[in-house]
Amino acid sequence: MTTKLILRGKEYEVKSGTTVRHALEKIGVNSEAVLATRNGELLTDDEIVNEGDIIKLVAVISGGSGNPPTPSLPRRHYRKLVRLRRITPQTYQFPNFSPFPEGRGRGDGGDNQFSERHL
Amino acid sequence: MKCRKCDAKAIINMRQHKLALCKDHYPQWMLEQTQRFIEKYRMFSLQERVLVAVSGGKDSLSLWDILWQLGYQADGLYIGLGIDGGIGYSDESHHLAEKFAAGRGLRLRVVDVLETYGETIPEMAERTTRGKGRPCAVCGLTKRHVMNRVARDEGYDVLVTGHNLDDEAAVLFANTLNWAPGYLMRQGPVLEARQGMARKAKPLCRFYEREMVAYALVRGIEYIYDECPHALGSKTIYYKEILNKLESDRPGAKLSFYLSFLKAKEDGLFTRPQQGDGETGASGEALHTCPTCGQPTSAPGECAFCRLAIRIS
Repeated sequence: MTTKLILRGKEYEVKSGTTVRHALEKIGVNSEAVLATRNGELLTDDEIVNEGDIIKLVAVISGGSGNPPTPSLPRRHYRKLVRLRRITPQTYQFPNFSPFPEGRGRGDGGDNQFSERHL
Repeated sequence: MKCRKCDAKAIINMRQHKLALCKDHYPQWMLEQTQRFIEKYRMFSLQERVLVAVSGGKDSLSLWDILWQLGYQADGLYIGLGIDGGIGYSDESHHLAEKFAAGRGLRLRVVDVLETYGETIPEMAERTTRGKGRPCAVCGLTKRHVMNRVARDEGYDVLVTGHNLDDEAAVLFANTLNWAPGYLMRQGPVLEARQGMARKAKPLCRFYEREMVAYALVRGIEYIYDECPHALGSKTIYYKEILNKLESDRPGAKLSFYLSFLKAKEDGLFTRPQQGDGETGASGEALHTCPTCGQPTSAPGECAFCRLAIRIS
């Protein structure tokens, strides 16, 4: 009696017979951050998910042109290390600032072309 | 849930408007609303030439589709950034933008950064500490420069971008957290033309991001689904997640945040006396004209983009 939810290639299982909104809550995904689809059709949050349904979730959040996060190193140390070529801006790993679970509205892999696969 | 207009099955429920619509009425509602915002904020008219900044993403392609359906003279501008990230990001977004334009018989102007300036955005980013190691700051600087140059040089009346309400609310949130009055003063649906700068407008500024995705899906618009590889962990996304948490508990919070800000601005909350008669930048400093490109800059001499371009050459 389960329903499968797929978000960016990651699969989750929830008990069927519940609403989309409740199913999203169960897997820790904010319903504002995704759109749920079944057989290519968009679903509203009050729709009931049935046994055997495959609900594909389309992430909606994008945006990367904002200011970058502050490096975890103190800024002056970071700049000094870049100047001394001990680290390069391209190889330095910035910390992940998200307080939420991975896989929500993130560019965390998956196909790079929109198609039915994303639905 | 049923459509408010026809009782058919709804495909989207916009809790902030207490409005659910079906697959036929939703795109129609989007067109009507966009037209309403264009008129309300006096963005542009049917007689004016519009340049749409197209990235291959859901917002810009949907915006272009809406303007095309509304009968505006809208050409597209795609900027090839040379970002690969292991997924051929720029190639794919370029392909989708071309496909979109060809399918509708629209004109797409392409500026390739590598061909024009000799380096890709990630390569340019290596030359500077701007952006503290991420190419996003160089990317933003380059896109703003190129968009403005093309809009100005080719005689477009207005440059439009696909910023949606989530984008605007995230920027507003960041600028409020930092109390950046210069940026707060300039944020709005329209940025008027000024010395060397084209007029800019954001017709989607009152639509939620999920509404834009729903529109793209309903209209069958193929957009680049993957996020820019460099966007991972960006502050913008972080702020959007926080605002969505708020929205989830209090429907309409994002819209109210943005609209209340616009109202407060209209009421004079963010006014500042001008320094002299000239134009001022975000921090109130007098603006100068870049001797190389003619665009405004906050310090005498070349602007930040031209300084970067000089380093490459």
